[in-house]
Amino acid sequence: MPDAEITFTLNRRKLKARKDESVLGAALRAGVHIPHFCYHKNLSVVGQCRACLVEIVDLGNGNGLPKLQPSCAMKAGEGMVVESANARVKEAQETVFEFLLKNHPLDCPVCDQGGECPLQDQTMAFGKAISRTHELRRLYPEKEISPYIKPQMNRCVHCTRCVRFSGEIDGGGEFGWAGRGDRTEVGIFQDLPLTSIVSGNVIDICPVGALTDNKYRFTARVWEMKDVEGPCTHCSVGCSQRVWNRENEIMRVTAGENVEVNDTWICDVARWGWSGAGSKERIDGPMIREGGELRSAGWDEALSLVASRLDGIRSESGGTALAGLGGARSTNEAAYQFGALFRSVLGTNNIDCRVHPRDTAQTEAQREGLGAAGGFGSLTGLAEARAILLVGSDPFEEHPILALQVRKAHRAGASIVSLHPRRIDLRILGRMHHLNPLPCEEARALTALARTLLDAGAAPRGDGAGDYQKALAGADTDALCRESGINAGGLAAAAGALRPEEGGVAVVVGPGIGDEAAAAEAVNIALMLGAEILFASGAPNLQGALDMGLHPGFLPGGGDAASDAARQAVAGVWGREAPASSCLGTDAILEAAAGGEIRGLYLFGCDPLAEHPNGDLARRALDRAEFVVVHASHRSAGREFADVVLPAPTLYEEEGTVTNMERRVQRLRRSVKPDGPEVREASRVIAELARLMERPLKAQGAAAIQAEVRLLAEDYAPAFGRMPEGGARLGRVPVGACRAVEHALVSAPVDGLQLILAPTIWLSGALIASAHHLSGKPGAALRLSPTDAGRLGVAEGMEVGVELGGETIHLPARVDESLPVGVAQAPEALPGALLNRGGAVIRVSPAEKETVGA
Amino acid sequence: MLGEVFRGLWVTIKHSVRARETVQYPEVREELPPGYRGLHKLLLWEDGLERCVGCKLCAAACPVECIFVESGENNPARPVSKGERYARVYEINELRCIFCGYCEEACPVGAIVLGGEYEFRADSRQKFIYGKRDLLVKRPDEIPELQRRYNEKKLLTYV
Repeated sequence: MPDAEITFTLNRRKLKARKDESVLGAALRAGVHIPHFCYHKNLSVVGQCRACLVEIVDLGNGNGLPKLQPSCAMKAGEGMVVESANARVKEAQETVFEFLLKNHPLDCPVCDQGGECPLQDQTMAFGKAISRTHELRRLYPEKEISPYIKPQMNRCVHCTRCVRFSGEIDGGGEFGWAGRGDRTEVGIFQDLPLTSIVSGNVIDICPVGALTDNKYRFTARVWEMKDVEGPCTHCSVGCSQRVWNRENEIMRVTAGENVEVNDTWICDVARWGWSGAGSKERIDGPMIREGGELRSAGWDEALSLVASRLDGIRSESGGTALAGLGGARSTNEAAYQFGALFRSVLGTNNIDCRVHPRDTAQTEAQREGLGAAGGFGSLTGLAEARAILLVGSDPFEEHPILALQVRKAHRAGASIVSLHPRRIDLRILGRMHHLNPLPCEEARALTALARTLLDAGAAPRGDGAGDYQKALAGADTDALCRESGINAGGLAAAAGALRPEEGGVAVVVGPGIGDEAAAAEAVNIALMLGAEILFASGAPNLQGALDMGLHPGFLPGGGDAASDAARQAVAGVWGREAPASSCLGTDAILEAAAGGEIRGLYLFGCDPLAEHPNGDLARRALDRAEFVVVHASHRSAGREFADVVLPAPTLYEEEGTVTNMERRVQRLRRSVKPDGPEVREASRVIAELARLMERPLKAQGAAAIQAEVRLLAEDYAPAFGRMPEGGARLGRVPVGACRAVEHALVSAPVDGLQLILAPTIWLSGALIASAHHLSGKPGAALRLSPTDAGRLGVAEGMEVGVELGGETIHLPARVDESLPVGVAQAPEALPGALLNRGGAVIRVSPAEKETVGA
Repeated sequence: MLGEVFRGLWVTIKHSVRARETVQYPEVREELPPGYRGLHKLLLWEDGLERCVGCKLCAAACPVECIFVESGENNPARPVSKGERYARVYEINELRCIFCGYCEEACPVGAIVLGGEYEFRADSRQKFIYGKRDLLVKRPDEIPELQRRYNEKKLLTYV
């Protein structure tokens, strides 16, 4: 914004500052280093470390200021003249540094921060070389605050960055300070362990070694390591992270910076989830089933077996007897090759990267309502929104950094409306509206909201707008509220907060939305409000895999597999025909496999047994299928049905690109070489299979694949050219249309508790499951509302028997105030019986004494 | 011409009557200069705790990268060194070492020093990788002059 720029003079050099920018901020951006500790660009300004003192020679009005000023708290003004390195400032800096070091132990050789310590570096540059302290230094009692973070408060310089982070950014306010003067103590309230999912960020922002990484503790020194910056691939936010490695071993992960995605924050799962990459659960070489047992095999043997069996099934029963699942946890390049293998070599459209039916439901709603797979919102748009509608989304549990962006918007004044069976906690006060529909009744609640918005002046858009408006006008809000269990008063307040006439709304659809009607209604609302819409669900690279054509109905670039023109375009690039045959999605593929029509299954980085909610169907499908290939990085339940197991690298070990939920394409650089010599790049393995089937894929290697993708998906061109720092977001103008949805029958009142399954990033995928550093994983527990707990005589931590379809399992109970009466919640993807039956009715009773602790 | 011959002879005669430099090693040994840089030693504090805290500054300073350190965390009940950190593994490849003494200069606690030992031998290359067992002095007063030198130096103060 050149119109808002201010020019001021720092050390006789003209600098430009943005409006409302501090002198320190502008100086740091221009590369002039003024020492500082408490200042952090993403936190509020407190001006309490006094290290950034500068002399204001001229305020811009001809008058200077008699005393030195903290430059972090001094806004740059037009014509201001500032000195940050003259004798007066230098003397002040030396005094401040001596003062900061008065109580700081000089144990740098022991301290993990040594080598990357702002106190160490800035003392060398701006402080005095000698210490005059002879007295004993201040000592705090040793404390434990978290399994991840090692506090050594004797080193603390009271900058309160951690306190401000936990209060402002995280919102939990778990850090605080007590005492006065040099007795001030920063710590955790009541010495409770930290529970925040973004707690690890305090390690990055602590300017001394007071808060260090407990898992990285004493394992390496910063100068021994190299760091590779790139997107995190644990969820679809795609935060920038730095992976530090030494001698081909990952030592730690710290936050990278991407102002458009994650500012400078990452979640704890990203920070410690890498430990799964070196776990014993890795598949370290190809394996072949022989006589019922898997045995190690060479690549040549395994690949030729896969090629001959898949090709054999194709020539016997045609391509329709083959299907491929997965690809949403791989790079775009590998996903593209996987699609090309199935479509052009094996001649089938039975390929799907959406393993969970909610992803299928949401993609279909996107396709119908928005004209393409994926939303068209951005994370920046979310952070700058005036109002945010969260639909079936609990961002702190599912996408922690998305939650920080929602909180950022709230700090800037946005109102938040959450539509979720639970009262989700964003740790905000005020301007938050909760609509709590009954489980599986989100669609009705959304229709009620759409109707209320229509009355408030929102206009449906697109081709079918008239029909939709008519259908909506016929909807009875009161009946919908009653049936869906939401409060009519709350609904009016929520619609008021969204204020359709003002715009600036962002809609986030989370994994809580499992049926197409609800997803379609969310799309309708976004279109009516002219809002940006983000789909925050699904596997890390679901968007990329869909764009690469891992969808039965979509070719790479989004062309319809049923359209001759689109197939010809793809055939032109592949040099081989694209099939016109059946297009089965995941559910249909599993049904067909269980029924024996699909004989060969290729599971690429996915495990329907663990991921599909209908585990029985997945089990029957894998059991019945004649030939099952598992191509994955980690062992999982599906392996017991595999005929051939092929090892895949994790995304720490791959080169390529990934696409996040806002369609930002980012380059993934290899941090370490794959674990074990037998692990090969996934896209090469797939290309090798095609070669063995004597119909090689045209594109070999990342550059050739990207060139092909550019031809088919034109909007990917900027991403594969000179990709900007932080990735290229592929914008999209929605060609959307509102359309009326049909609601399922109202479910009868239930006798018992209704179970909802909460997806959580802690349990997303085999890599995180095997990450030994992540000790905070939620265990199997059943959450109950206080009322239900009281009624059933269940106390916190008590073992309860959960009866579900004639089967009883025992789980510890947790009392959770965010749950409505009549609803119980368990984490999704926990191995075991609960996995399959979200929405099911369960009976809970306190367990008998003998089973406690069993 | 003849003068040149006598001048040459004079040099020969002069050297033949000069005191001899040759020492009958190993029976006779020369005294080493005070700053001689021989085989490394890891020193102890007077109370018997290891000086080395495993900070790896020696490894960072080493121009030939012959030092390998792996740090560990002290058990407060049975500490190995002062402070929280100690060297779990400390190895020097003495064949690769150029005895420049940078490790000694870098050491903030006076743990690694280059002593007077120059006669070290082994029958395989592997055995020239000296570990803590070979490097660590057995008692605080094993090499008094080195220990004294470091006791006088102002070193890292804890807390």
